[in-house]
Amino acid sequence: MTDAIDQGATPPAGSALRLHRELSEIWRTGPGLQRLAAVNHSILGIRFMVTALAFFAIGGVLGMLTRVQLATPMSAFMDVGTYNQVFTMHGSIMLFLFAIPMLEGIAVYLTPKILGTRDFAFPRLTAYGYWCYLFGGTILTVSLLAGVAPDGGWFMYTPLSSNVYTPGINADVWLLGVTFVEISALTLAVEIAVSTLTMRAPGMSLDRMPVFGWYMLVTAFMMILAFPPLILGSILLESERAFGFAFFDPTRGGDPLLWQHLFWLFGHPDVYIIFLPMAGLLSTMIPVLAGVPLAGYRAIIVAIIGLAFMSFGIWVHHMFTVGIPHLALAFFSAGSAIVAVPTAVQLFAWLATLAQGRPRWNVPMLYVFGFFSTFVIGGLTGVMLAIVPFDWQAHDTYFVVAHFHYVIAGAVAFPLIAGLYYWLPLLTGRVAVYRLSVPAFWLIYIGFNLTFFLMHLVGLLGMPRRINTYPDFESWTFLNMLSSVGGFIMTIGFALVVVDLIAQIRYGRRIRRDPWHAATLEWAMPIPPAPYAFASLPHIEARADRINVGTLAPQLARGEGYLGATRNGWQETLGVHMTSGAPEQLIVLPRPTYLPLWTAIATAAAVLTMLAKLYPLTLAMAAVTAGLFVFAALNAGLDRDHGLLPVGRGVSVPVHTECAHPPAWWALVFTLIADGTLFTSLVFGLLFLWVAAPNWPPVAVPDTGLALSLVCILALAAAAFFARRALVRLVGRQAPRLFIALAALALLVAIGVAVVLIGGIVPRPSDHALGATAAALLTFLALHAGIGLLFLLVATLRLASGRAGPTRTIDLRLARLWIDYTAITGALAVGLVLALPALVALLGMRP
Amino acid sequence: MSAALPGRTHAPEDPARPFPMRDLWWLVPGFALWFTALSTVYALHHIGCTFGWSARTIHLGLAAALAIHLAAIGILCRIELRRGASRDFGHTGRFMHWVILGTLLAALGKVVLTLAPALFLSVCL
Repeated sequence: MTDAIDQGATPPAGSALRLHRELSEIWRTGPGLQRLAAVNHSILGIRFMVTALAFFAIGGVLGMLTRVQLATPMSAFMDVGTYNQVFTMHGSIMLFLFAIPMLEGIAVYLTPKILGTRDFAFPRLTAYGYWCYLFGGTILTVSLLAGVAPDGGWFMYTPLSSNVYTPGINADVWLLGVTFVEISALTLAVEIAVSTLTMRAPGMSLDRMPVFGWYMLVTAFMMILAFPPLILGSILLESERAFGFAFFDPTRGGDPLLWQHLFWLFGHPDVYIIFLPMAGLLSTMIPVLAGVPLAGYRAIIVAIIGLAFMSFGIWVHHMFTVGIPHLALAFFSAGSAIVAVPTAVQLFAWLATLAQGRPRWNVPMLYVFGFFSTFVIGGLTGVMLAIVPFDWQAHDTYFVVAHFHYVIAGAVAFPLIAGLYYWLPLLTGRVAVYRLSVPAFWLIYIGFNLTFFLMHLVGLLGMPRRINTYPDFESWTFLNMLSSVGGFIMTIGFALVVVDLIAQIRYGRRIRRDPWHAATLEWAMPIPPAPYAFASLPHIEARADRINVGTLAPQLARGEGYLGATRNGWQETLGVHMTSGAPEQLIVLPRPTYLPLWTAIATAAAVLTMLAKLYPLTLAMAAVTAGLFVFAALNAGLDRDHGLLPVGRGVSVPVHTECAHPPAWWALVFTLIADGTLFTSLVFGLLFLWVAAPNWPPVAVPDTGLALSLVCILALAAAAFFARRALVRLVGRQAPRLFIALAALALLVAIGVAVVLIGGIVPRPSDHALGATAAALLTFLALHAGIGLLFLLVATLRLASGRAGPTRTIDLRLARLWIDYTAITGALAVGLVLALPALVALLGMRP
Repeated sequence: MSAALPGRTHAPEDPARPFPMRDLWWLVPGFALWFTALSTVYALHHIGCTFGWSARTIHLGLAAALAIHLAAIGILCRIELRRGASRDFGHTGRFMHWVILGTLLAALGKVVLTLAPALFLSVCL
């Protein structure tokens, strides 16, 4: 392409139809099998949601099977082994394959539209995340059909999930399948955070961002921080099951409670990770349905930030009965109860909004009402369970089952259905003509309360969780039967919703514009949305949830906003300053490609070969996956400099490849935050075992090679130094290859030394938890140094192909950042391994 | 129309400097300090009990940890109050100042309410 073409892209005010045709051609996804190459956020968002609904149906059927089993005492409907698989998969599917992916689907579909941009920052990553989710979910579901599904409860507690008590592959399926799905969650979390911060409509400063954007931003950071502890726990437990490493075995210095800590460090925030996006939907819908702006915008933002942090500090309230010291119980109890405050801030803000306005009693509002009543009940029973003496009585009874179904269903099901009815006109271009949704609501609402409210009572009468049958107690029997009847009523209601939605999609009345008189940007586009979302991007000069859709939409369609013309066949959108929303860079997005699908297939193959214990093949598949990532990186970006390009409204900005901080930079920063959480969790694990686990100190005296350890640290420091020098030379228009080679050599030395150190660990990782944690720390180092090598490889190849250069330095900047991080965490890891003998000696001072 | 289209400069209606990106991190320290206070108190109590420290020593340690965290959040509040008065980052700056101060004050209250009563309880039970 020529500069003339670049400069000729000054957006004229053109005809809306011509612009639509040109943009549609550029942004389109091909028909037939080419759909597998889709990277567009609208397509992927819908796929996420539809797939999540399919898993919801599967999970729902499993839930109904448990209710059939428990409807009568001494039931022979399912044997105990099948029942264990069914209730474990019900919980796992609902949490990992429905709730989280559904919120991801909503985020993928709605966030770019509400924020006034054309797509997310990394469309190929979104597609990879979707395929990982689909394949991981399929592995889990197929295991159920094969009779080898996980059967240790959705939290997979050790020692039940250890080799001794679960010798088959049931637990491996959970550990590997769920971790696979979590890759999807983490990639999307990074994507949401980067996109929300850097890809809003121009002028949309943080104070003008719709509250939905804040909810998604906070949720994304929660996912970045919450998932790593569970990923770490799954890796440690799988390594114990596969290789005999002693992390959770108390006879070898491990501790089952370490699993509980790691699991609930994820598990408790996960409740809010699910709740907050749904609260975001409510905060977007309620003002529209009430006809007034949202009350307490700033207070809500403080509340959701507070809620996010608090959710990480109260994980112990799931462990009140495991023998935590009373003093600690006291402050974890207080912390758990206080979580009600930021939640209440949001509830009162919604009530105040409704009180100020004139609410419309339509279908979405009906489900909002359902949310209020169920969520408040769930919240109040949560406060009851936060009080330690009550928790001791109710722990592991059906009271807890009732509580979390009220919270999760109240927080997810009702807002979700409200949101479906609210945004379905946007997705389909049709509005409902039938009223099936009203009887469906009452069936769900009555069925839900009948099912789960009675569980409070049966729980208070002492019925424990997870039992497959029970004796014929008169009080339990009647309540269980009613619960099961309620479950079937609720299911009929959900089925009616599905019928109603299909009827709306197929036979609903066609509409062209916003049917709700909403004031957010997603309605200022063609309905249903074109693949490019906005024909041109708006300039925001006030709160972006108070816009006049009727005036703005035709202007944008005529190309009167930013990027109102096509250029070079590029899929263009704008990157903005994080806080002010000022345009900073022109982001050119990748076209449809099969690469995400192939990469996900390779990743799935790695997981499956690990399940089959074919470890050499696993390594090969992991190498293929890494190779595909390298291949994807080679073709990213543009192959020459373009300088400043006009983007409309008299503004010119550089292409993202020529910027200091393109989205890829922030993605790596946020990825490192997630990785740092994983490393911190590992260090926590070591210190926890040191202080709390039985059978410490080990019989064998820890022995670490001091000289080799120092060589390892020096090699990492040298790699960081050489990577920096390489970048300096590139910016100074000098050849950086020598320093890149030296950095790679230093990383190879660090990897080699780490491998030697792992081989010489005393006590052996399979003999004692001390050796196992030392091996984990050094493996962390070696793995990160290896990834550093991949960064350097990509930089070298892109320099050779001309895609990187003195003005396009992002490859080396990413490599430098990664290697800096590796050097710091690697030095800490080696330092901790060196400190192990001293830590063990300290244990001798115990009374 | 509230979302007007024209605009030759980045933010024509707000001539103030943009709120610095690095200052977004100020949303973190309030509640992060609450979290570190919680973790420190939890760990200190556990370590003290494991190594047989006296009840008085453990209480003093917990009180010191709490006081340090309260002081740290208090200092941050003071800094933010001064910064808010002395810097002009327009409407975004005023908004962020309000939100940051809100998180700091909420975190201060949370530290006091959740951790201070624990100082008066028996240890190592």
